[in-house]
Amino acid sequence: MTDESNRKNPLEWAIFGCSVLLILVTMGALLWEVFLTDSKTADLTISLGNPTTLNGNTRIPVFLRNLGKKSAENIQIEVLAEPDQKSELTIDFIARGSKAEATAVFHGTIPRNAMSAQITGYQND
Amino acid sequence: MIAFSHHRTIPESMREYGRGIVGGIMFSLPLIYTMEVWRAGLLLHPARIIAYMGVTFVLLIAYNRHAGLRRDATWLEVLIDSIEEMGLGLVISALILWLMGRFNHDLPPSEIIAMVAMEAMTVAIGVSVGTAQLGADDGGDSGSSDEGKQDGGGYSGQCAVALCGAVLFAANIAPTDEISVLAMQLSATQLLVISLVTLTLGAWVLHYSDFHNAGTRVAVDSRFEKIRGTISTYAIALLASVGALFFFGRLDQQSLAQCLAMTVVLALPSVLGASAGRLLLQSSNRNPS
Repeated sequence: MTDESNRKNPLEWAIFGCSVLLILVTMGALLWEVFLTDSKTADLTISLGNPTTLNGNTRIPVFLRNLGKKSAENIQIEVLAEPDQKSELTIDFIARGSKAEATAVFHGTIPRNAMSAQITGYQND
Repeated sequence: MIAFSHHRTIPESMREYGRGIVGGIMFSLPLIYTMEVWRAGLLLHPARIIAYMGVTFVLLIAYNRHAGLRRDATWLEVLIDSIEEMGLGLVISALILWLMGRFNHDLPPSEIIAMVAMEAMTVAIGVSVGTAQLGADDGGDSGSSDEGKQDGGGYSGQCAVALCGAVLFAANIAPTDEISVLAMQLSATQLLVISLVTLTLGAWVLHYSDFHNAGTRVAVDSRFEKIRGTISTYAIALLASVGALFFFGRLDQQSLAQCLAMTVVLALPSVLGASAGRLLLQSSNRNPS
């Protein structure tokens, strides 16, 4: 039976208040994303870092950024090193507005200006 | 002044919240450790995540109304409890994902929120179940005080609790790739057999295995009620399965045949939630204190 003498204690009100706030923040952030996320595709950019040499191999970091409003999956990256070496990388997925990093490895000592990278394909979200 | 059905001290409330937290973690552990769910939050459209939260909130209200801790709780209390459970679900999910190192500096805050929201919904249902079912017998009442308690708690109420149970089971499995793989590899005959086995399993649990709570929660007065219960249970399992698959994006760009196959495959574990889970998610009737 309900009774006006039965009241919620301060802990219950605090939990309730925090819950309302959390839900409002979550829903608000998601609603904001709804208006930002339209029919546009992912916008992927790629860049190379500074190479390092270890055990006769050259390792170069590859940075991928998604500047678009859509996520992308199975991103295929090709890194070329002159004269005739090629490294193929696959990144499983990259969320909208986020970054990913991979490393390409080549035989021998290769200068930075002899390397280039390109995105050869990806799966739309 | 708002009238409530109960007054609890702070230590009593802490114990209740503690049960809820344990229940939330316990019932959603497979989901929390599933990589596909981490990714789902990042890949799904935010509108779908919002819809998922809305449906979960309705489920929480239905469960708290028909099988919650307090039998004479008002609708306001049910609403407050549901909001608290969803809030606790968000906090627990965020904490566990953080502990597991799922938040990295490359993820923008909006993506982190989406990831947490996807995990949090099953956790919230677990919090609700844990709060209601994991406590020691403290003499409190339980469940809805609607009419029809003697014949199993009311048809619609039992359907609501069955849906909660089915969703708990389905949501833990639906995000995985294995459902798609099974659906692709099974023949039509095999899927038909799975359907029949699923139907039989539900009937067995509800009517022929003397399961816990079946005597008070399952209507068995007539053959019609048995058939209705069995078919309803399977229908609820199918509904929970297709819903879970949809909200986790597993039906996207799939053919109708593949969607149907995936639903049938997932309905097998879902029916356990809709039948056995439904009976276990409700306490036995007790006299009100």
